[in-house]
Amino acid sequence: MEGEASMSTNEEIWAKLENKEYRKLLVEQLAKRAFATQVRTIRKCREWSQEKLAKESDLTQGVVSRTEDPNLGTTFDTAAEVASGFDLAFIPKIVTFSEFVRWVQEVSEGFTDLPTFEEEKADVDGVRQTLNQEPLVAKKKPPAKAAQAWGSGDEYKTPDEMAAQLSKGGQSSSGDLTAIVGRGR
Amino acid sequence: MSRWRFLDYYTDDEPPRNAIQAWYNRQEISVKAAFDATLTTLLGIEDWADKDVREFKLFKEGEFAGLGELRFYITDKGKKRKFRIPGIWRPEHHEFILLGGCEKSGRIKIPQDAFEIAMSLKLAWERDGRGSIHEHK
Repeated sequence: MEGEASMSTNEEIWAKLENKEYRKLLVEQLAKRAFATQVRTIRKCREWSQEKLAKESDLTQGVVSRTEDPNLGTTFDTAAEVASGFDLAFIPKIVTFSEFVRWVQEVSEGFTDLPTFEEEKADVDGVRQTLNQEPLVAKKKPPAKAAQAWGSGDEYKTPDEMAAQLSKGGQSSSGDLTAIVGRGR
Repeated sequence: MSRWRFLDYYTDDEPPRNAIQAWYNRQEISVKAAFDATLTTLLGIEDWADKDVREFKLFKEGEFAGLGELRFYITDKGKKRKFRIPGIWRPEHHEFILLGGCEKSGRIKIPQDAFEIAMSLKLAWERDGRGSIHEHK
């Protein structure tokens, strides 16, 4: 076999997202397929039948079966019920496309079972470490004009002060949103 | 867990023909997205032979015995459109060699001879040692 790049490098996935319609559809398709795969994987790891998961989730076996169909989507309510059946959490989250590409990589690496709340509780250090991690929240940089009004970082301005400075065409050096939010606390 | 790989088969014609790429290029963008998402999720599924893995089927008998197929569908204006991707499943190598694609509606396939062509490519590769395989992109 000749050496060629794998289909799944982050750069190649990123390049395919250039088309807006494609990236919209890929998110839709992968979200439902990945969720179905994760549910099926966790259930199999625990050697549960669909009936057992249905009972734990307070759903019918038919709903569990449809949740595991990669071609069908599921509602947030059902997703949360299923997660609860496993004694796990479900977090819907809007992310940037670069984060999405990283998640595509995670999906392609496969899913495993996860510790339940009680199992996590038994690992005090592990829980503490997770709780103290920096949140993975993408911050949007402010538009250039607003960034000027936000000042150099030496002084904090309220939103009203910033608006006043903007309307006057105020002069000030750039700052980023993260720093402003941090100073506002 | 070993990770699966998808491979494209190229004939030894000049220029070489790649059946899966030719099929993919003809598809609407919604089909391309569903195909790419199906491959992504399959990469991370350890046991494709599990009866609950709906994205894969191995033909154990009949005209296409020995071929595997990837399976997915999309819902288009309320109508289910099913797609099949024939190929060679090599679990010992954690590989699936893509040999083409088709849309399936009952007994009708578009293109109708997708599986016959896939079978002939499988024989060319496995029996005659013709053609080459390359990482799918």
